[in-house]
Amino acid sequence: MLLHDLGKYRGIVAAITLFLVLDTCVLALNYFVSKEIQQETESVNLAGRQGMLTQKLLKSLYELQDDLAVNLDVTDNFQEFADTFELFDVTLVALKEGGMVPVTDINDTEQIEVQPVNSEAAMQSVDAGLQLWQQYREILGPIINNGSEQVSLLDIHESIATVKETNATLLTFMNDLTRYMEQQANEKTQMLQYVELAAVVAAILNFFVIMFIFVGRLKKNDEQLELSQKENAEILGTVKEGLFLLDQELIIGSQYSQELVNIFGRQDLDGKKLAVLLKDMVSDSELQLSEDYIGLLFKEHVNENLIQSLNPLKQIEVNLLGPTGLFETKYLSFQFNRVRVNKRVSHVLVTVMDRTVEVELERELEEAKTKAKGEVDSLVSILSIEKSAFIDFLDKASDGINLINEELKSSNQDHKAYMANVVQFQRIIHSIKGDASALDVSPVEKKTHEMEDVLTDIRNSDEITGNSFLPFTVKLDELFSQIGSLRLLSEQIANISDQHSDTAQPVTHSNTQSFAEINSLVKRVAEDENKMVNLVTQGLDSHHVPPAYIRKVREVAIQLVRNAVVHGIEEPNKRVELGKSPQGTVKASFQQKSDGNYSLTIIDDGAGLSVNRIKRHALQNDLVSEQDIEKMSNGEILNLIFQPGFSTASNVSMHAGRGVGLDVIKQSVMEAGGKMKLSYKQNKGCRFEIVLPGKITTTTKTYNETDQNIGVEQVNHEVVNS
Amino acid sequence: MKLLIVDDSNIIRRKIRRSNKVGDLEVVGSACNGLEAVELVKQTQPDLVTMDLTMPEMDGIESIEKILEVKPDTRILVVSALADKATAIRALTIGARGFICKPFTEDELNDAFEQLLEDI
Repeated sequence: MLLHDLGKYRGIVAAITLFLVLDTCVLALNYFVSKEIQQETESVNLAGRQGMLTQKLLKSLYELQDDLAVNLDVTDNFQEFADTFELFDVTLVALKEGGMVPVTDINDTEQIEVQPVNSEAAMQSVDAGLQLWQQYREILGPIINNGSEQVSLLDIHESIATVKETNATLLTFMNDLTRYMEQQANEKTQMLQYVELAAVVAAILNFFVIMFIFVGRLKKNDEQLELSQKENAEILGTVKEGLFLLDQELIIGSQYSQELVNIFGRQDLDGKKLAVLLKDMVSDSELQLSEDYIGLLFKEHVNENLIQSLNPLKQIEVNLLGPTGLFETKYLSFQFNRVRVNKRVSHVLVTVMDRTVEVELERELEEAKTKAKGEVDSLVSILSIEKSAFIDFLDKASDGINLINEELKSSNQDHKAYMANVVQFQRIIHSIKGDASALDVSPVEKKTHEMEDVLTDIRNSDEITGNSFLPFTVKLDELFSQIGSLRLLSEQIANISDQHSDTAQPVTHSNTQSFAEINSLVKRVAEDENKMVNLVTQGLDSHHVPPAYIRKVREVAIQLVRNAVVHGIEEPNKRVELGKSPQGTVKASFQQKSDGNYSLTIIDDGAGLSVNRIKRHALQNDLVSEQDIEKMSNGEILNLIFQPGFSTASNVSMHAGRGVGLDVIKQSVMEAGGKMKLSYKQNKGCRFEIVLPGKITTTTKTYNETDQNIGVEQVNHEVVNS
Repeated sequence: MKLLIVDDSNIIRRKIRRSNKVGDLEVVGSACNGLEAVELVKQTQPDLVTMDLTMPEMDGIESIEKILEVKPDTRILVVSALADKATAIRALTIGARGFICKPFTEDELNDAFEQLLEDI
C-alpha cells in the first residue's frame, strides 16, 4: 500500500531499504562474531594460563618441599600451591562445561564467563587434560584438604614424583588446547572477514543495480519528456491559431504557437503581460475591458458559456507590422477558454485567429451586393434619365478621373503642390458627386462621397507626401470601374434601342436622340469654360450615319467637338481682340463621299494650332527630348498631339489638360480601319476629318496604313473651310 | 426551482415568462425596479433571477449586491443590451453568473437557463 503510494519512486525506496537491511545484518553479525571472538580470545588466554599453571604448580611443590626440609613456615607457599591447584581446576572444568573463572587469581572477584570448548580437537585436549588432572586431584586433593599444618615432606615428595612425571604431558595437552582454540578463533576472524567482504560486494552490487535500473529509468523518462516536448513543439508549430496561456496575473505563458508569432510579428511574448501584446492595438478602455473580461473567467461562479457575447476582443481591427515591413490591417479574433487543473481554473487558454481573409471576403461580398444593387439602381436611373445628360455625366466623370490620374502621376512635389492637388481633386470629385446626385446615380454619389472623406483626411494631415494619396488612388480606381460599367450599361441600352429602332420605330426619333447629347455637351462645356459657342450639325443622324457607325461617330464627334470648344474656340474677350465675333462656331457634319467612304468633319473658327506651344508642351511632358525636337519637321511636331498623354491646355480644368483625347480618337478610328486628317490656320481655326471605309468591316486595321502614316496625313496651313 | 424576473420592460418580462424552459420553473414574481427586486427576493427566496441592468430606483449593480446579501446562492442571469459591456462585466464580477444580450431569441434564453441550472 505504502509502496504503491510511492508510485515511480517505490523502486528506489525498496533498493535503499534493502541496502539498509543488508548493512544492519552485516553489522549485527559483526557484533556477535566479534563478541564471540573476544570471548574465545579470553578462553585462549585462559588455556595459555593453564600451561603456565602446570609449571607454577610444580614449582610451588618444590618450594614447599624445600621449606619443609628446613622446617620453615609453609603457610604462604602452601596457600599459593593450593590457589594454583584451585585456579587450574576451576579453569579446566569451565573449559569443559562452561562457567565463571576468576580473571587473575583464584581470589579475584572479577570473573569472566567461559564457554565450553566446542571444537573436536580442543575437546579431546580438554578431556585428555581432565583425565590426567584426575590423578592430580587424587594425589594433591587430600593434601590441600588437610591444610598447611598437616602437610608432610613425604606427601610433597610423592606428589612431586607424580607431578614431575605427568607434568610435561599435561603441559602439552594445555598447549595443544591453546593452539586449537587459537585456530578456532582465527577461523572465526577469517569468517568475519569473509562476511564483511561479502557484505561489501553485496553493497556494491546493490549500488550497481540501483544505478542500472534507475539511470535507465531516468533516461527513459528523459526521452519521454523530450518526445512530449517535441510533440508539443510540433503541435504549437503547426496549429493555425495563435495559442497561449494566461495566468491569473494575465501574464503570457512560456509556450505559444508559431502562428502567434506570425500574427503579431514578435517573438518576445514569454512572461510578458497581456497588456504589452494588446497596447497599440486597442484603446486603453478596451484593454481595461478585456482584462476585466478575462478576470471573469477566473471567477468560478461565472458561467463560461454565458459570457461569450461580452468578449471585447471577439473581432478587432488592428494594424500590424507585416513580413514586408509595412503595416497591414488585420482582423483578429480572440477566444478565451478556462483551463482547469484539479477542478480549479488555473489558466485561460487564448486562441487568436486571423480573420482578415474572411472579413475581407465578407466585405467584398457586401460590396458586390451593393454594386449589384447599384447597377440595378443605375439601370433604373439610366432608363429614366435623358440619355444625353447621362452620357455627358459619364464623360465629365471620366475626364475628371483622367485629370486626377495625370496629376497623380507627376512626382517630386512638395507639400504645397500636393495641397493644391488635394484642393483641385476635391473640386473635381465634388462636381462629379453633384452631378451623380442630380441624376440620382447613387453608387457614384456614394463612392465620391467616400472619396471626399479620404481627401479631407489627407488635407488635414500634417505632411502630405505621394504616399498620402494611396487610399485615394484605390477609391479613384473603384470610381473608374463604376463609370466604366455605367458606360457599358448605357451602351448596351443604346444598342438595344438602336436595333429596336432599325426595325420598328421611326428612325429619326431615336437617332436624333443619339446625337442630341452633342448639343447639350457643347452648351455645358462652353458654360464651364466661359465661352460662347454655336454648334452646327449636319448629317449627324441615322439617315446619314449607318447603324454600325453610330456609336463610333458619336464617340469621335463628342471628343472632337469638345476639343474644339476647349482648345480651339477662344474666350469671348480674346475673340473680340482678334476681331472675331465673341461667339465661336463649331461645325460637325457627316456625309458619304463619292468614293463610297464616309467622312466626319469637325471645323472650328478658333485659334488653330501653335507649333511652338506643342513643342513646349511636348518637352514639359517628356514626350520627346530637346535634341530630338530640334531635328523634327513641323509635321512631325504636329503629330505629337496624337501621342498619349499630350495636353495643350495651359490651365488644368475639368475639360482641359486631360491628357487623353486625340490619341484615343486616333486609336478608335484606326480600329474601324479609318483615317484621320488635320488641317489648321493660326487664329483662324482647325479642321479634323475622319474618313471611315464605305465597306463596313468588323475586323480592325484592314483599311489601315502603317501607324506612322495614320496620324496627320496632311498638314495644310490653309484653313480649308471656316 | 423558483424564478424571479427583474426588468422594467413589460415586453421583456412577458417574453421571459413565456420561454419554454421557464415552463419548468416556478415564476415567483416579477419586479420592474431594483428596490422591488430586493424585497421580492426576501419574500420569495428565488433560485434564479433574471436581471436588467438599467432600471429606475435602484440600478442593476446595486440590486445584485443587495440580492446576494439577502440570498448569496441566488443564480443571477444578467439580461441587458451589449452597449455597456463594462457594466455587464462589473455585474458578473460582483456575483452574477451569466449574461445574455437583448434582444435575445427564445432559444438563447432557454440555453442560458439550462446552463445556469446545470449543476443543481
